[in-house]
Amino acid sequence: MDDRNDHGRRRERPAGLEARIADALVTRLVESRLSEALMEQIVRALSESKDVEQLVIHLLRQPDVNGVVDDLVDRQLERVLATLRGSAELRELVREQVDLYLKHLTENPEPVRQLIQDQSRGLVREIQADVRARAYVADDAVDAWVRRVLGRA
Amino acid sequence: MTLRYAGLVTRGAARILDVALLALLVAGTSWMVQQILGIDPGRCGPVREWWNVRARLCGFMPYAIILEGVLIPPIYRILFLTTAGRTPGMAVMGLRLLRADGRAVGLRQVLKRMAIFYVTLGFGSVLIPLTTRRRALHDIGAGTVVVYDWGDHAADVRRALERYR
Repeated sequence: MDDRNDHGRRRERPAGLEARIADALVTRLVESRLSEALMEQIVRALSESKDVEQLVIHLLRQPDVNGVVDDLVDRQLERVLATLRGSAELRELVREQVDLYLKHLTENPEPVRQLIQDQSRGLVREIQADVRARAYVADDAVDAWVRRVLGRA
Repeated sequence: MTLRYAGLVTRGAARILDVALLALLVAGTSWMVQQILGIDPGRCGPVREWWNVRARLCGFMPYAIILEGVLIPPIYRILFLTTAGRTPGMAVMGLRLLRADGRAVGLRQVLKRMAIFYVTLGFGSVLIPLTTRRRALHDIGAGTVVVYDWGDHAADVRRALERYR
């Protein structure tokens, strides 16, 4: 019995050392510039790869995966939104941006005026087209009614 | 241009729009004359001196409105139909007046058409749904036709038409 324990301890020691050496090697390797460049190249190749894109799209279309992704995105989104809502810096940033936009619009009102004019013109055009179409259909209806009353074909 | 002859409803709507515009024009003209000359037809003084034009015009104002009502509509129609081939009401409804052979109308056709229209009091329009080219009596007499002309808006009207068919 003692013999067996002693033998086990002897085997554990070199195994722990091996693991530590392996960890140190991996850490060195991962933190090295060469591996960083290599990783960057791999990521770039993957992101530019049509096959990977197809694979991701295919996976996302799977009902199981899609549900998981949706759930993940929703949860992250809620968390991010909650953080953003409470952020005073963001509010200040938005206020600054709004002020900037308003100032810009006050100084250059022409595009906005043009936009409103185009929208109004589009609305009038739509109403006019509708009135014309209704009258056109009514013309045919009146003709058909008169023909029917007079017993013409 | 859609060479389809326009029917009773579209033409009637165009005429109603024209009448509304003419009523505004007649009322507006008499109001403007009163404002410019400073006349109040309700308080016209007696005409003592022959050179008092304003007092004479003031007494004439009730007749002036009738005269405007008689004169302005024909001038309006002649002016618009000979120059543009359509009145503003017809433009809104997308109509155009042409000669029966498809050419633009001239003063002679417009005068003839208008004369027949006034003589028949517009009742010749009942022929519109009965004739093959949707022509009223004044169209037949003047040798004209009224066609749909939606101009740049043709695509919009066709799109709207698809909803009603």
